[in-house]
Formats: sequence, C-alpha cells, structure tokens
Amino acid sequence: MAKTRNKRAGTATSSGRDFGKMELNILLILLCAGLMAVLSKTFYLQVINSSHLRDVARKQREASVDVVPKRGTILDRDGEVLAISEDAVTVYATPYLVANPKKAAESISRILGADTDEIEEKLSADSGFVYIARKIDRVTGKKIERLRISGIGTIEESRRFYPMGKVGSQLIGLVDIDNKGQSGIELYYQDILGGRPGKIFFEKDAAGSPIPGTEKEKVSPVDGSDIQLTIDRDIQAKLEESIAKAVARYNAKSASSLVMDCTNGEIIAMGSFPTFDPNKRDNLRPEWTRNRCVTDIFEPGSVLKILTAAAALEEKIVEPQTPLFVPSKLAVADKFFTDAQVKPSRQLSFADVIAQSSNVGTIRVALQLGKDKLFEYIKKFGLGCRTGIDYPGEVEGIVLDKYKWSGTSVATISIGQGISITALQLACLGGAVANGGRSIYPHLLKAKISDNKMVDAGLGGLGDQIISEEASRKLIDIMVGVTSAKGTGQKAAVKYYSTAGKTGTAAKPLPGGKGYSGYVSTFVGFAPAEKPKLVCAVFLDEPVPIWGGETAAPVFREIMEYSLQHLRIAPSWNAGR
Amino acid sequence: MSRVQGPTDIHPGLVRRSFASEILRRFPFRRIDKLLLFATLSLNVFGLLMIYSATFTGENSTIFFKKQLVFLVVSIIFMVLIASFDYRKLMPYSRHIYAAVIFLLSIVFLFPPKGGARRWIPLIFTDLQPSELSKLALIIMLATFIADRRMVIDNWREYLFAFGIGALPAFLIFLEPDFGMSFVVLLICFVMLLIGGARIRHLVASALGLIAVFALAVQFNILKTYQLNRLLVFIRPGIDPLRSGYNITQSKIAIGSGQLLGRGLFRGTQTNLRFVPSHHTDFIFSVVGEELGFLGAALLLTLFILLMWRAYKIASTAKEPFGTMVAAGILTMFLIQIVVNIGMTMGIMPTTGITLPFMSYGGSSLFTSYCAIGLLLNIGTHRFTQH
Repeated sequence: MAKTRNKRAGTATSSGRDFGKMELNILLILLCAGLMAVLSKTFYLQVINSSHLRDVARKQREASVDVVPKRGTILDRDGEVLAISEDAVTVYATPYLVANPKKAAESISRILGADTDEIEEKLSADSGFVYIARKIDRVTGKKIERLRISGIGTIEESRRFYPMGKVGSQLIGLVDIDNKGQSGIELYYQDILGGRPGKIFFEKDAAGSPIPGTEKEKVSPVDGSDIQLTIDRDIQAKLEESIAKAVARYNAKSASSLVMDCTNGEIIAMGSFPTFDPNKRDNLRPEWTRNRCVTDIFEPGSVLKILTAAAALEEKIVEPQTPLFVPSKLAVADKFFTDAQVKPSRQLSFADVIAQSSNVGTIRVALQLGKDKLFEYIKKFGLGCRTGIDYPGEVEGIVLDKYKWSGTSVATISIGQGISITALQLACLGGAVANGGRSIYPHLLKAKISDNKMVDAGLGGLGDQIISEEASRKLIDIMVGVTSAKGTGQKAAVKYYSTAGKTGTAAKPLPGGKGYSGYVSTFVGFAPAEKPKLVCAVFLDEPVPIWGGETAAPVFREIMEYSLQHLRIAPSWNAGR
Repeated sequence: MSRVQGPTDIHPGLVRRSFASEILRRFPFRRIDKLLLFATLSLNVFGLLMIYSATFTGENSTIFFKKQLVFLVVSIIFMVLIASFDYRKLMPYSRHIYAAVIFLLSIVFLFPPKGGARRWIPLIFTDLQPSELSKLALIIMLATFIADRRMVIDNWREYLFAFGIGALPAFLIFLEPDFGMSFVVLLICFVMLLIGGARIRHLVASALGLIAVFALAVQFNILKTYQLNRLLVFIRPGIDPLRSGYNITQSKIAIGSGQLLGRGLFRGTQTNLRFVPSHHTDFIFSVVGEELGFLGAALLLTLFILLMWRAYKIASTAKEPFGTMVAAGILTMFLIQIVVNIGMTMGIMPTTGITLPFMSYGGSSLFTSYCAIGLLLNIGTHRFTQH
C-alpha cells in the first residue's frame, strides 16, 4: 500500500498498459448471457407454460364455504322438545397474527376456564388456522369477541342440544359436527330437518382466510323444518328407566322394549339398554347408539305361540275350549319335544295350552295346521320382512323358506325357535292380534311443521285383515288367561286394566347355527283387553332367572301401568286389584 | 485538471454561496448522461408502483410505500452530492471508506438477530444493512488498488492482496450469515480482478481455494443447514414444495399466471394474497410478472439493459483506469443482482436475499444503488476532461 499513498489520483493513469477494451468485452458477454437466460425463462413461464400456471394459481385461491342452515327441532307427541339447535360460537385463531400469544392466552383462558398453557401452545402454533374452542355458547363467545385480540376470530355456528339427555337418545340419533344426521331420526329425516345448505364462493389468501370483497356468489341456506314424533317423552323416560332397572336387577346383558298404539301403528316409546347421553359424546361407544328394537334379532320363543294360535283359530282347527290330549313327550321326525318343565300326559283345553305355554300342545295344533298354513301366517304377520318403519337400519329377521324346512321345523317354529325376529316385529304381531286382526304399519313421524303450519305425515296405520275379528277376540281372551292366576304371565297383569299377553323364554342360538347357549326372556302383551290400545314388547338378553314370566313380564307391567295412565286410557271395568 | 464550468460561475470569490447552491453549481447538468438518469428514475417509479401494489392490501397498507419515498429522497440527495465533485478525489479516501464499512460489518454481530441472521444495525428510522454498502466500498477500494498498479496485477503477492480486499468483507458477510450477498461480493471481486488484468491461473487457483474452504466448512458443519437446503432446493425445487421450495414454486406460479399481458396493476392475487413471500422485497419481480405480464417484465428488463448499456459506455469511455474500474465494478454489481434476483424468482438461481436494484423495498439497497448511479454520472461527465 506504500505506493498508493505516494501517488496522486490525477497522475495514476498516465502510463501503464492499454487497459480496457478486451477485458470490458467480458462484461458485455456476461451481460448478454445473464439477461438472455432471465428473459428466456420469463418467456417460458409467461407465454409457453402460462395457462397451466394460471390454473394452478386459480385453484390455490378458490374456496367456498357452506352456510349451515338452522336444523329443524324434533318434538314429541305433546310438543315437548327432544332435539333442538341452539346458536353457538366457534373461536379460532390465525396464530401468526397474534402478537402476544402469552397475554392473549391468559385473557382467553380466563373466559373459557381452560388451561392457559394449552391455549398459548395453540396460539404459537406454526399454522395459519387453529380452533381454540368449538361450539361454545353464545355469551362466552361474545365475551371473547369483545377482547378484540387481533388474530382471534369467531364463527357463528349452531349446536345440537338434546334437553332430555339420555332419554330417547338412540331413537333420536345424533348429528355430526356439520349438523348432518348421523343416526336415528336425525339421519332418517335429514332431508326435512337439515334444510338446504347455502354456499358462499370467495377467494382466499395464503393463510386460507377469505378476502373481503371477493364473494362471487351466494346461495342462501334454507332452514330445516321441525318434525313431531309419535313418541311420548314421559313414557319413553319410564320405558328406559324400567329396562335399565331390569338389566341391573336380573343381571342381563341388554334389553329392548317398545310401546306402540295398536290401533294406528304409532310408536309411543322405543328404547334399549345400554344407552348414552347425546350431549356428552366423549367416550361414546358405537354399540350404545344402536336401537336394538329394530337392529337386533332374537329367537322369540313361546311368545310366537300366539301366531300358531291365531292361525289355528282362524283356520278353525281348534276353538279355545277344544280339549286336547297333551302327552308328556311328543316325537316329531327324529326329535322328542317336551314342555319346558316336563309334566305327565294330561288333557288341556286349547286356552290352557297357551296360558300354561305347553310346547307339546302347541306343536300338536301346529302339526294339524300343517307346514304350508303355518308359513302362510308367518308371512301374513310380516315376519321375515321389514315392517317399513321410518327409521334407519331396520333388519328383516331370519325366516327360512318353507322348502328349506326340516322335518322338525313346523314343531320348533310353532313354539318360536328356529326363527329370528325383532322386538318391533313382535310388537306388530301382538298388535295385529289386539286390534281385531289387521296388520300394522308402525311409524314414528306424526307431523311435519313448516312455516308454523303443521302437516300430518299420514304415515302408518292398519293394513290387511290377517285374521278375522272373531278369531282375534278369541285369542285375546286366551291371552288374558296368560296373565291370570293360572297363567305363566301373572306378573304382567296391569293394575286397573285387564291385560292380555304371552311370555317367552327362548334358547339363544350360538353364532354359526349349531347349538344353543343362554336364554332370552320375552314378553308381548296389550291392554286394556276389552278394547286394546297399547301393545308392548320386552326383550331381556340372558337375565337370571331366565323365565319370561319372571323377568320380562314385570318390566312389561311397569311400563304399561305408567303408559296407560299417562295416556288417560279408561281402566277396565272388570279388572280388579 | 480543468474545472467544470458551471452556469453561475461569474462572480468568483465575491459571493459566498450556500452549500446547496454550491452543489447545484457544481452538478454537471449539461454533460450528465441523461439516458442513465432516465433509466434510473423510470426504474424507481416502476419500483414504487410495484411496492405500493404489493403492500396496499395489508394492514398499515401504505407504510412501505411512504418509507420507500423517504429513502428515495435521501438517496437522490446523495446521488447529486456524489455526482457533484470530481470522483478521482475519492482515491485517497478509498481506504477510509473501506475500513469504515469493515467496521460496520463487524459490529452487526453486536445486535440481536432477525430471522436467525445478524445483518442489520438498528437505527432510529430504519435498519442499516452494511453489506449493501460494502459492495460499493469494495468497488472503490479495488478500483483504487488496480488503478495504482496500472491495471497490471500479474504477480502472486499483489493478486493475493487484491483478492484479500474482496475476501475480507465476503467472509464477514458469510458469518452473518448471508450466503447470497457473500457470493455477490466475491463475484464482483473476481470480475474486477479479471478486468483489472489478473492472470487467469491466479483467478482459477483462488476460486478452487475458496471451494476447498467451502467443502471443509460443510464437512465440519460450519455451514448452516438452511443454507445447504437452499442450495439443494435450488437444484430440485420439487423436493420440498411446502417448505424450502415453497417460495420458488409460488413465485413461478405468480409469474406464470401473469401471462403475456398480466392481470392488471394492483390485481395480482397470488402476490397480494401472500402466497408469494417477501413479495415487496426479494420477490418484487413476481409482482411485476403477475400484474404486468411478459410485456411488463420485458419493459423492466429493457430499462435495466438501458442502465447497464450506459454503465458499459461510461466504463469504456472513461479516460483513466480508476473510472473504468469503478464503472465496471458497478456494472458487475447491478448485473449480478439483476440476474440472481430475477433468476431466483423463476427458479434458475438459488433463493438468496439479493435485492432487485431500484425495485425491491429497502433503504440500504436503494441508497447503495443511487450512490452507484451518482458515481457513474460523475465518471460519465468527466470523460471529456483531459488528464
């Protein structure tokens, strides 16, 4: 550097090499090469490949959001609310816009009563969108809104609330987080309840938030309509309480029961155990949400003897007072049949055969009736077919075609083994006997309410005459005998009402077909016997004791006693106690 | 050395002039390279428009635009000042300027890092980025050194000394870390040495030496992971489209969706919606590409070509080596920045923090660019003078 210091600026270049031209050309070459590269790439992107890139860009920006309509309310037959949508607020955050996550988390958690650290963690997340709290009530939501923290936003949403909690939960069903029906009535009547969602199309920025002023199109939502069910929430509550108590008392695995108006097919109450609280969905197990009355099938056992009896009475093979010789055991094809508790051979009237639930007596009548007639009546009473109830997930049961029947099938099916039905089908069978012999179309929807006008749904009702009114009357009288002092179903007799019914204790088939293990105890009955109104079926899975007359019958009585009084049905003039 | 004859030079010594009027008297209005000035100011108006377009949607929407206007006023004042004296007077002071910049580059490490790097010195109004200034300081220092040796640096000791002048700021900038700027500084140094008559074998040897040092740095994990990532992503942007490659991919989408005519001024959705990051600084070319299309991009490049063509003319017509070397260095600086920055937005150059001169938002960059233009104008006006 010493040289530099001595030199004057002005004299530095007076001699030396002829600099410049050639080396400066290097610069020109570099300049041309660099600019050509840049320009050609620009040309490629903007002219040659541009339509592709423009599409990519458009797809990145386009977004639409559904405007969720207000979901219809579900009411019971008295207009009490079973399910309702309430306004709720969802709080979200755009973390990178939150200037001071710690302070923000403190003020938010004070309002929400939630953990500060957890919220702070969410607010510091490396993401453009996080939920802070979903579907909280409006008042709390407004409080958070009033904090006016930048980066914290709220969305108006609607939240499904079930004021009755557990009561009717399986029947009513559930909605998902977008308020779409997931199960039960909520699913089946989604079209009515759900309305039509609206849609807003807009452009979003890189963080995914909508850009004001870019709303292109708006489709307004159509709110859902309210519906009224045939259910009575008090009877529903009583029914669920009764079966829950029975499950505990008899140590059963599960239970299902329903009450139906046998004059028009309206389901008054329908439930099963175990059940769940739809307002608390954490730890929800799928099997709790199943409405076992329509989804589960059982071999019904002796309750099916009313079908055999109805067929025999209609075909005039027997009369209630016809004396029958009932042997101790009866050989059919390669099998011997006895009564549940083996008894010596005796003479019984047909009415007593049913009242005492004699297997042998019933089988003898069934053999007289024959395979074709028995199968015909099974079909007429609708077994092996869906009842057509307005409810999702109904199963048809298992009824073998008659040409597949073995030598013993007539005998076993006549007493309710080797055939599987649902509780609902059983209730329909009992109801058809009770209402003077007409088949029943069960239903849950009573009316649709839109624009404050109630429109009757006109569902269900009664169908074909299966058995004559005369045969029906005779069978009702026989079934009253079942609940009398000498019958198997004494414990089913309802206070102040003459009661008709039939007990059942069925061996449960093992999965796969061969063999049996455990018992299902059943009861189907109706009251008042002189002018039947309500029919009720009860299934208890593996209770102790096993007998239908001991376990299912008291549950039936408890439910019916409450239901008849609650619906203010006139007591029977001849019923004592 | 003859003096510039200003229009008001009629009362020698009689009137004491104010500083401002003295500057105006000395500013060579007539001899000034008007095409260069036109290109510069056009680019700057273009840039202001783009910065406004890129930022007007956000909160505090016009703050960037207003700040840039303030930077512009300060920068133009400095450009006029620099253009108003004989540039050759800089030669004795080049060492002091160089030392001052090295000092500034050293003290950046005392201030808290931003985004993992210590590149800035916080001032009251804005942050100062010494590495921007270091480019110009290096150019002046190297030009002085080469001019002193009459454009002949053919022995090892002199070559190494000259190379050291460039390597020292490059190393300090590398430590910040600012890989891109470090690369630019080294490249300016190499090109100036090449023009300044260094031997090819010396240049190749020092380049190989640098590569060896770089390899060792990678070997011993001195190089930051993200810097390696950026280099890898440069080679194949598709490997990580959501993170390191995101910038490039989004920028390409924005530029491409501009097509031939663009989406219209202020209508660039991809850039304004923050799909493209740093769209008002490093990725300002994406905004140009999206909003004004290929025609806008071509216009921008044309203005840059005009600017660099004038710089080349000034370099080749300068009457002494110092002017040639300074003009060549400045030309190199602009060229590298333009190619690296625009290339980066289209994925043909690695992602670095190199700004686009006169276009990108940023005070240090604008200030440096205007000082450089001031020097060019100055050298240009003195091409007629006798030595």
